[in-house]
Amino acid sequence: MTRFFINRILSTIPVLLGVTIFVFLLIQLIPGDPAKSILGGDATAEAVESLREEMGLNESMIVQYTSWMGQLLQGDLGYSHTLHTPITEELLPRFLNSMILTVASLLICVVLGVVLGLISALRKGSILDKASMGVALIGASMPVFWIALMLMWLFSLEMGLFPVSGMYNMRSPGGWMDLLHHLILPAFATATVSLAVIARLTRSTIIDTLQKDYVKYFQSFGLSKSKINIVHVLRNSLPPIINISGMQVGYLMGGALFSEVVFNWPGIGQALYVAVTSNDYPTIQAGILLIAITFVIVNLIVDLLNVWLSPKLQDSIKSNAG
Amino acid sequence: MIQAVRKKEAFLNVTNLMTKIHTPEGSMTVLDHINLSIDKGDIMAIVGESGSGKSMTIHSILQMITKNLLDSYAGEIEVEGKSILDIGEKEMQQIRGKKISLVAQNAMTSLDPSYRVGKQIIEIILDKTNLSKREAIEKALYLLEEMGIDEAKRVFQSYPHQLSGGLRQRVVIAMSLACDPDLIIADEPTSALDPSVQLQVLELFKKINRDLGTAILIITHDFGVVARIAESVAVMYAGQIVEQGKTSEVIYNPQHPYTNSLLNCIPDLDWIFLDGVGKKPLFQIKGEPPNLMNLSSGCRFANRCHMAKDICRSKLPELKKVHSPDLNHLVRCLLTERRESYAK
Ligand SMILES: Nc1ncnc2c1ncn2[C@@H]1O[C@H](COP(=O)(O)OP(=O)(O)O)[C@@H](O)[C@H]1O
Ligand code: SF4
Ligand SMILES: [Mg+2]
Repeated sequence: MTRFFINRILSTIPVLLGVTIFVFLLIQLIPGDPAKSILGGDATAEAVESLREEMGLNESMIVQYTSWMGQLLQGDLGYSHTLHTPITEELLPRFLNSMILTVASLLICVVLGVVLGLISALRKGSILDKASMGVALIGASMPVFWIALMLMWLFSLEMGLFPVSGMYNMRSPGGWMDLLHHLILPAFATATVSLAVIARLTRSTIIDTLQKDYVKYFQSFGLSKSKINIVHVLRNSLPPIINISGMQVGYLMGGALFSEVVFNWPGIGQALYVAVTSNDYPTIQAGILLIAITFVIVNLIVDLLNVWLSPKLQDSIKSNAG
Repeated sequence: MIQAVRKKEAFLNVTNLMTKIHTPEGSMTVLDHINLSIDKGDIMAIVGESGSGKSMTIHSILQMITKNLLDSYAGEIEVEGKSILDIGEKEMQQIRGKKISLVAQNAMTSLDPSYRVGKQIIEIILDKTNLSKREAIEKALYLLEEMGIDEAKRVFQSYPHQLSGGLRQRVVIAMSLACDPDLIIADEPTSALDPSVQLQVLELFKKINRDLGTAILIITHDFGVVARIAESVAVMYAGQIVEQGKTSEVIYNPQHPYTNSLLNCIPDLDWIFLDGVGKKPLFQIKGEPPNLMNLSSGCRFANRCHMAKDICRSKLPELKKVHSPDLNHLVRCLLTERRESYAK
């Protein structure tokens, strides 16, 4: 099994390689001269030419790709000629900020979604079930930026419970508590839609699992209900819940962009917005690459979890290998 | 109504059990005056076509009919002389598994695919008894060995999907014995198995009964199974017991036309008595059982009975003693009643 896990992890290498080629070509194929667009319409031909030389644009594509890859492998995302800073310095902290927001909202939507779905399923048909599924339906159909604005209006402006914007309070020493305080509203705003999706899927999955013969069989032994619900029902409902949670990461990253704008969260969204409007190709390239790598890793984790959770799947892998 | 001559001290006594369930058309009486009595060490069978109320009977006994479905119980169910129809869920949990346990109907789907078989057995032992983990493991291994499993350790360590149907059936039976119940109830335990495996499983039940003294209530639609294992049998039709008695009595001296039809449904009786002869059940009696929602006032079997007379359509037969040496042989048929009165 360890061999399978190592193989599966190694198998992401060609995928990641493909991603870099794709991202590289994407930028190459965009019409227009990056050097010209950086310098503006009235730059001299010499100036454009010297910048092209500096950016390595006169080399062949292969050479450009290999040197870019060489940099990437050393953790260097390139140089932004618009901002005149190394991209790693500018973009990476922002990317991490975005990941903090995404991971926080993932935690919120998985934990609350599963709890809500579980309770609804166990009390199927009750007022609680109907109410929470009704709210979930509404939640799933609200745009993120609107939720963000509503949360901000209610909890920050009206009630004053949470800060309106940013990641840390400039006048305080910061720290975890301060970060958490700033994080809660944007994370909830980002999570709402996915929370509703996960709650609904969890509910229907749990209801299905409750009908399984083995659950009824354990019940016939007079074991405590809550024990059966956790040991057997929840355990066997995990794979679909994990799959949908993995799929939500994409939506959360997208939704985080909106929350970042509303709550002025210093994430990658703002940076990419600036990069796109100023034709900062290397930054765009690096941004897309970081996001794509995140997707590949999330997929890997979901796959590994699924195998880890399914003895049957493990056996079929073993028999395929042997 | 004459009731069966009952052993008052019997382990399980079911008296005039009536079970009603909710249906879209209203309340439906699925069990009508069921009387059963099972003592420690007995082997009893309930036989009947699909839909006759066999599963409802055992789900009533274990009170496992879901809240949404159940309308009401009436009558009496006693375990060791104690009425269980009005005890709370907590007390009922003490009876399930410990006093009476179920052998899963479908062994292929009744084990949790995510856990090793051994873990599932010890989960039950640890939850229901005071044994330590080590003792629970020993007990589980002992039970698996008792089930005639050669490599008990390997099976203990296996996931359900790694085992054959026959092995899984044995595991499920071992599970039912995890807390030394006085009675195990098996609802069609063999209908999904190959004939040769069916025979092995029936032999296993006999061995359990012999070695551990566990009483067995086996539910089946196949008189072949009844003949092979049960000491006594109750024949069910449309929610009622229509004939009941010692197995040999009922098989060799059947009184109810329905029992007769069921017996005729085993074309090759040899399989009952000779190992290795495949059975070919031809389970078909002409016609359909009546709709329990609108029953006539007559015999429930009348529209399918080749011996039906006019009176059968207006008078409901009661369960009465048959004129025979077996004092517990009862039948619900007007024809027999008349024969009885002629005999007097
Ligand atoms: N879940 C259910 N919903 C509605 N009716 C049911 C349900 N289960 C059983 N019944 C009805 O109860 C009667 C007895 O069913 P059952 O005990 O399952 O029969 P058997 O086990 O003998 O095949 C049948 O008429 C059947 O239609
Ligand atoms: S009472 Fe009449 S209809 Fe019913 S089984 Fe007897 S003979 Fe047949
Ligand atoms: Mg049944």
